[in-house]
Amino acid sequence: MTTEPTPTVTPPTKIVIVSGQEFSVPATATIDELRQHLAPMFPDVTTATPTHGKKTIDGVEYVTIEFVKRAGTKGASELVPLLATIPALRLSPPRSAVLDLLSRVRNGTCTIAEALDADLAASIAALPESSLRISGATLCAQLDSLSPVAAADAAAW
Amino acid sequence: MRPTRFAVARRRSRRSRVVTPADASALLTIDATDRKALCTGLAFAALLGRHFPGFYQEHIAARKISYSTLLGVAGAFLSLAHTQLLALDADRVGGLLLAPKDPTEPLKICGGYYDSSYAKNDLSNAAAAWLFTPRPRVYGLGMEVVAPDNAHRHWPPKPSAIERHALALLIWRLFSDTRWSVLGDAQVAELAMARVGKIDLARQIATTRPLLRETPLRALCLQLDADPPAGMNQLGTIIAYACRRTGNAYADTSQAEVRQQQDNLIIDLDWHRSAAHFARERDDQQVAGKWAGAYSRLAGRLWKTPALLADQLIVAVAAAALAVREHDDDTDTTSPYDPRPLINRLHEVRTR
Repeated sequence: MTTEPTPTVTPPTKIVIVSGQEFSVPATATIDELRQHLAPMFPDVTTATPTHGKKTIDGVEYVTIEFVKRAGTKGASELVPLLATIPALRLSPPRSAVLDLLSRVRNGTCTIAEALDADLAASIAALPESSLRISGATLCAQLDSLSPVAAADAAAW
Repeated sequence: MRPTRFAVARRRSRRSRVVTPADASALLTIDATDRKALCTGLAFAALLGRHFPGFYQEHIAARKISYSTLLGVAGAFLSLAHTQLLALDADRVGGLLLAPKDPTEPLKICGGYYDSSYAKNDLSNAAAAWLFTPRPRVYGLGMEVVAPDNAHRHWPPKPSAIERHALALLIWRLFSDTRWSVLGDAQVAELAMARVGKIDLARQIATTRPLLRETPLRALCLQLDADPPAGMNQLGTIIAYACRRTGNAYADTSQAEVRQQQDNLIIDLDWHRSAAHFARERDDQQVAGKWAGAYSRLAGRLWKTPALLADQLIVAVAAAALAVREHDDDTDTTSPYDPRPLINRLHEVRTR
């Protein structure tokens, strides 16, 4: 008695994964057709990258197509001009010796000779001005106020 | 199309931060006013160390930094600069009272009584920029005093102003057609009649015949300085001074012009120049003061004996102009006349 090999079953459907949700679609559906059908519900699909894979469910091996969103940014087209209006803030930390001197200047314990020897004026000139600081909350508020843009715009980024 | 399986709840991710919080010191910022005040004060401390190292070591180096102290440092520097680098225009610079007799006085005043916030404001406001730009004392004849547009502001003019400008008006009239013309002959005549209280002198100025346009001016001044008419030493220098053509900015610029200067500095100086540079500037300034003194003395004499002296002056200048008329140097009518080489040469001749 011989055992015949189990014939490979080709399922009539394949699985499409979008945003963590799985859909069963005809195996013959092309990528373009899938994009067209899914776009009303998942706009990102139009620009997402399809990744092919396999998944076995109840002994049946299905072909999977996962649409992986491209990294984009909300309001990307308006973010560039917004960022351009925000002054640069240098965050390189001052040397500890300078910090110490500045602290002593504020405490009134630093002498003029010490300040001149350390060229404190140059260090002070290199510090960012308080008025240039923008809080995270302010930045987020400005970003939230931007209108959403089409995914295509974001993709152009 | 239906979902075969709903997504499991959002994937639990490890707690992590994209941005590591910076050390507070790394985010150190400074208020613009603080920055400007500190930098201004420290700049003056550095200038004291550079130009007056002895004073710096004795009175400044060990002082603790505060806005009041730094303002005092600026005052001390300006007081010393006023007496040793370049005489300044006023006894007050940018709100700071100069103390030429005791440069430590501003340190005492500012440190002892001056409120720190006021000191910070003084060191950081727009006027602080002027602290670095000397407004030197200058001796030039003030055009603004005799200009017709401004005449009403000074009416009635002070006697000293009339005395000063009667001689200037006479010289301006004489040279009104030459390349050194300050005002046109008609303007001079009008001013003389309006401003010079002595009618005979005013009429004489208004009717004096101007020199010819092509008169060689430097040669003329040289002639008048080398062979001066009786009682009128340095007449050539006085003429060049009155016409503002000595080439010395301290003699050719008036105080009002220096006070009004904005971006286009007439005398472009800053305290960071070398000591040698200031020595040269101070020489120029002192020479200009001497020329102004010579002018004032002659102007005073003209006012006392107007008819006699005006006649003598006009005749002397006309004679000298006749003597040098063949001088054929092209630059003679346009270049300024600096009498110093002549004075040096005369000094050499006399000491031989």
